[in-house]
Amino acid sequence: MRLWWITEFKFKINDKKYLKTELIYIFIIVILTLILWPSKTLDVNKYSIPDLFLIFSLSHFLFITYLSSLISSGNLLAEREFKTLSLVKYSDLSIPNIILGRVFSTLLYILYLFVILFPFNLIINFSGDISRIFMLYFLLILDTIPLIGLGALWSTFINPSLNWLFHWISYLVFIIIPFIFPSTFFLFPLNNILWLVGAENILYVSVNFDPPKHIPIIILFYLLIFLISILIAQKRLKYYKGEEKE
Amino acid sequence: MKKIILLIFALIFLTSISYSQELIFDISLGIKSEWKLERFLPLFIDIYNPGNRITLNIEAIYNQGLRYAGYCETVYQENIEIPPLSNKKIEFLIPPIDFRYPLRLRIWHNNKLIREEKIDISLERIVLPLILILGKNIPSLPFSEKARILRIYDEKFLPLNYKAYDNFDLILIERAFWDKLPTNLKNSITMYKILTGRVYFTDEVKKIPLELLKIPPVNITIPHNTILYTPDISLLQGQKFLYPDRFIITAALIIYFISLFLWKNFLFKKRFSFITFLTIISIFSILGFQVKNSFEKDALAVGEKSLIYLDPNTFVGENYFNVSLFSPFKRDISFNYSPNIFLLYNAYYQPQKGKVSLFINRKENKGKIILEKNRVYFLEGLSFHFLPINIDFKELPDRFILIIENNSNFELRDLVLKLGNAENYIGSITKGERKDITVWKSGLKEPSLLNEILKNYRLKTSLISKKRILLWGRIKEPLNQFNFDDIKREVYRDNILIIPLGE
Repeated sequence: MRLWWITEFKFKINDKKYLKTELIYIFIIVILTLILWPSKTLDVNKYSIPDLFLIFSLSHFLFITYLSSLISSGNLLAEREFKTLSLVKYSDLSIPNIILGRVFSTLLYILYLFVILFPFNLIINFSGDISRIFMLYFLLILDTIPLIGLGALWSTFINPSLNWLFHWISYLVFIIIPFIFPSTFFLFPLNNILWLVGAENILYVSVNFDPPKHIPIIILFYLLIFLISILIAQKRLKYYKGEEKE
Repeated sequence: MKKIILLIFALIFLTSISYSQELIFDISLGIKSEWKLERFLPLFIDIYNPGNRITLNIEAIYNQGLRYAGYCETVYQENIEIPPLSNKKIEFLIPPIDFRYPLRLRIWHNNKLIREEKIDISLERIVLPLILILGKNIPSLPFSEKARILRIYDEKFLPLNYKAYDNFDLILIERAFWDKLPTNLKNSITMYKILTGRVYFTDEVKKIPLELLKIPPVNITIPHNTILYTPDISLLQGQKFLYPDRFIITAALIIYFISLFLWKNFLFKKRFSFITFLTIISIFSILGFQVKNSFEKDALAVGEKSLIYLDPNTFVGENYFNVSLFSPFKRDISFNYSPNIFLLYNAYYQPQKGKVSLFINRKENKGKIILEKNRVYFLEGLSFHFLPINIDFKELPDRFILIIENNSNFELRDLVLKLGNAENYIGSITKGERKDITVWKSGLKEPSLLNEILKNYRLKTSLISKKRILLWGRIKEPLNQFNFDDIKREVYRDNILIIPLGE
């Protein structure tokens, strides 16, 4: 198996399209920090200091899940990247290699984002333990896995508008709908993030997440979604490749 | 023969470890279980150990607050070792008890609970006046009929802490009994006499003022046994935390992201791009760690409010203090306090939620409490001080003449002479300074600020309100030392010193 996806990951880091997305998020981070940073002087009349870890965990969650779905469904292609379909048609790579390669390059890019956000997360962690940040990263990776799998499936559609539509539908169903009905179902990715940041005490929502019971279930379930969507994507790509050869 | 002797030893050893006998406890709240509401009181635990040497952890649990809206719990912990076939007596000083929450006692051995007790009370008794007579004979006194009279002629029942005598409305001592008392008990009773004036010898019966003999029973109201009537968080206002401010953080973030951008543009395709990337990340991670540490080390606001009553003849001072704590982040804090603090408890003021526990290790003078973010906590307690401030006071028909010599370690600030409801400002006296002051009676102005300040205090020394002429001022330096482990913090203080000068 050739490691072509590392080259693709390098393109991602260096590309202007990705840089634009990063810069937008960095701008949001800087502005929010400037506004929400706790005052150094204690004002007794409104003594409450915003929990920046909670706020930024949720914003990281929204941004990273959105970005992973966008990238893996092929809606944010860089100049020198190839579409999945073009790769299937014009390269000599095997189909599993293509799909896994795309998944790995997306995952690598997300890990790269985690690394560059690490110093910032340290600051907003306040007096909390560092293990909280690693747990956040673990849960974020876990939550992006089904979206990456589904994105790989959507990237097999020829029609770009269908592709775009499915990316948004999966993002809305997984990420946005739980925000409207918080804590309804533990399988929604939002629940584990809310549990991690201790939102029960701060936002007064009842978080439906019991880590020892629910983490194994969500790992299995998310991997299942990922595998099924990858298998369907393979089937579809095989069909395209076959058609081409004929 | 050797074997037999060894066998005997082995048997003795085996029986001694296997046949551990039941400990015998004698628990008494107040002397001989007599105590009074709204007063400080002693708790005695007498343990007889008929078996082997044993180590026990004793916890006395004192509660304040409301069961459903939240309450504050203070756990006094003491670790004792009792040799075989011997008695050990432990004494705890307990703040005024809320009759709705009985005091609880837990005794642990090797992390196993061996005894748990709730000390029941009978409301009918604890509201009545309580009089202690030390000696064999009861003098004839016009006590109110309902008063309970407790006669003690064995010193082993007496508490060591002077404040534990607070439970009694009047103490009468036979001179013969007084002479036999050991010095530590004499000292504590003397200190109690200085600070309350409720102690007399039996032959001084005629000197006892009438109000001490006719004491009405306590009214049963919902108790709030805190030092202040309402929570006072004004001392926390404006305290500065030492973590970096928003502009520094924003600037650091911008520099960080710009350096990443520059790395992408100019260094990404160079030979050591990965190493330069790692260097940037690690430098800024170290900076991030520093910021994180500054949160752990600095963010705690502490306010201390206290009322010190000083006896000018003996220089003994009693201090009622209230410490407010605020942490913007959740933290476990442990602290140690100076040994002159002989009582510390977790005080309940109205807008508190949930249960808050304070653990006090009395032997090591250490406390532990978990602070939730954005909430104010209150610790209260009593301490005693020695403040050698010599005052020579003379009252003439038109003026007062004062000679004040401050030999204490503190600067006395904003001293004021108070007569009834009128006051006159005197000024400050630094350490070691001696000042002659004349205060003209015509210069006294109403109203008295001290009277207004005292209105906020629920618990205070009873003598303060009785004295007509007082000298009062403020001390800015710390009187009580609280050392919070690994936390640098500023403390705002309001220590009020009150010295009675004349009736």
